[in-house]
Amino acid sequence: MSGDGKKPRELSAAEARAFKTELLSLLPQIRAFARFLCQGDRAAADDLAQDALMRAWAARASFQPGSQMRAWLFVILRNVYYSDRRKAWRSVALDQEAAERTLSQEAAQGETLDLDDVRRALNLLPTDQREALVLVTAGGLSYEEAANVCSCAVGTIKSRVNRARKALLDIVDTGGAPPRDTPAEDALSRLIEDARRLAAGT
Amino acid sequence: MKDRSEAPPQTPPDAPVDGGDPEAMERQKMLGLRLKTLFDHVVEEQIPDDFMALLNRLDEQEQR
Repeated sequence: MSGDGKKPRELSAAEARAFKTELLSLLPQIRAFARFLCQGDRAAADDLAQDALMRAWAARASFQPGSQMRAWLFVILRNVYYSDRRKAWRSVALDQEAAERTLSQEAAQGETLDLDDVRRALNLLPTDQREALVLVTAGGLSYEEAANVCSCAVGTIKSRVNRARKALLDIVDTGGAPPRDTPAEDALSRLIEDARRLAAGT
Repeated sequence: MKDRSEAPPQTPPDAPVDGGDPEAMERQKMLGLRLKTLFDHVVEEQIPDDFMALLNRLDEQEQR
């Protein structure tokens, strides 16, 4: 994460050991976030997590000891994911269509929230809503931390989480696809984020 | 009775999605628990050997 052109400082042996230890302890969460981003595809998620791990290792001198490594790793993971997704957007679109067919065929009828229904419904959410919901609701990040990870305003994260919750329950209830319309405010924030990512070269 | 055909006020980000309806709030709570369960299932999985191999390889490269 040292995009300022400065040469990264050397890590002492103790710092390097501490970095590796903390990285290891966070591997399960990195894999979990990757799994959600990859819509439950275990192999793709582990590939993504390993790519992110290599990036994090290469950039470890820029990590500030004492700061939130989890959020730092989530940012890297997310950047790798969006970078890969841009290269393979067509395959992602096809996966989404397949997931919609599956859910339509197996629409939940009961009032309870079956775990598999939630899993399938989650995969139908737009990525920005899915990641916001997972980071805050499942990953336990604060709105502020999630906003930092997603490079957007806290209000945007709150809005995405709320919309994601509602859409997810609607999908589970009806077995249908999530609403496609997005408010102008969110469309604008997506454009700004895309521009940021392009500027950052990720 | 209020005319509901008028544009409703926007839901503030922190407000419950269904305006405080206890049943809806209960479903949201359940949804949160389900999501946490799904996340924790992955967290509790054994880390594949590939990950450790990768880290050890990176470590060795560094020490050369």
